[in-house]
Amino acid sequence: MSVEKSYEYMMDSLRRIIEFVREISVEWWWFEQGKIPIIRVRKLEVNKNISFEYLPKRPVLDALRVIYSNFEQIRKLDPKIRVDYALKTAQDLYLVLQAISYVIDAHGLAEKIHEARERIAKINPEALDEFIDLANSVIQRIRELLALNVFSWPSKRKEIEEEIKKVLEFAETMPIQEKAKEEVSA
Amino acid sequence: MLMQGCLFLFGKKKNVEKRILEEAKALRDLIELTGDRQLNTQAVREALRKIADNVSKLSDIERDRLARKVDELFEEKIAILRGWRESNIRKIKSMLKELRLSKKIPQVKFNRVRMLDSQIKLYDAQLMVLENLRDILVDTIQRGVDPVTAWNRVMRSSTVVSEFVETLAEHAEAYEELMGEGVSEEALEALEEEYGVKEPEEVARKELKKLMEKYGVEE
Repeated sequence: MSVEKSYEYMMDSLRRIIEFVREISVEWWWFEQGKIPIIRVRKLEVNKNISFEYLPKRPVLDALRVIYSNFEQIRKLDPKIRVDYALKTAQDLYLVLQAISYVIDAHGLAEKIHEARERIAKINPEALDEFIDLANSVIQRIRELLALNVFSWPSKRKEIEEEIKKVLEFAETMPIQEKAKEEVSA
Repeated sequence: MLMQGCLFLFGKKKNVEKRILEEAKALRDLIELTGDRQLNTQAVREALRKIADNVSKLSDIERDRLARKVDELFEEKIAILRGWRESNIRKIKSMLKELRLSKKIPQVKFNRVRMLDSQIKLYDAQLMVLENLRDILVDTIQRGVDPVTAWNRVMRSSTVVSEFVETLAEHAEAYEELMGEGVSEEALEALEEEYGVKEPEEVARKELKKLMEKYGVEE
């Protein structure tokens, strides 16, 4: 495969990744549809001088777009220095993809909370407020944890899982309310 | 001489085909409503009449080929709009899920949900018009038309376009209204049911019955 073709193949793969993340992040209802800034990446700018500085934290999708733009800029560079910037950008890409995998994992847990909420709404609507308080505290904790340091997720996951377990137990042990029984009978 | 005549005729027919395709594309893009383009029923009617006139000069094979090209032309746009619609549906579902875990619904988020809903309804209206226009055009081109039938089809499409303009006007009004409105729990509930985030009352009741049976709770 020629160099040009390899480059096009890589850029095409990146575009696919961006499209994939754009699609799945919309479903992260507990995470502002993926709009919460969680990761820092370096931005390459090639004008008279070359600058390659870290940007403030940004949402994963934005971070991927910065990386895409870096790879576009890299083509303008002298082949001698190109490799160094390409390697650093590839490192950033790896970290962003890792961060995305943690958010996807967290989403799986958050979805369980949503399912439990629907159960409570059916069997005991009066307990819904109490459940929402409980659920929101866990959701808030996941959000803060990821926003503060997304890479701490593997070490904190167990803790979060325990908290979610409590929320789910609350929903599972909730008795069916008399009013709900009457509605079914009617 | 005969050869020259054939080439002349062939070139002329190619031009007719090209013209019809351009007219069909312009008609398709009228529905797009981007930039300063405005939907004008008169223009739509004119364009359809021109196409109906031109198509009568073509042979069956040419008409069939042209109809397929027009179909593709519309299908391309329809596929894009469907994609945008689906994406907005996923977004609204996600936002509704988020709001279902809020005790107090933030006005900004409520407005955003209503805006998305309006946008989805707008896509529905656009898709309906595009699909109708495509069917009318393909039918007209493929089968060829006599003036009376052509005119009837033009009238039919005008009705579709007028309905679309009315829908747009309704949405513009609804948009202005919703900006001034407070959060409405009923409106939100209706949206949750519409987009399948909340089960309709009847389904929820059946589900509950199943749960009661499963856990041995007597009715």
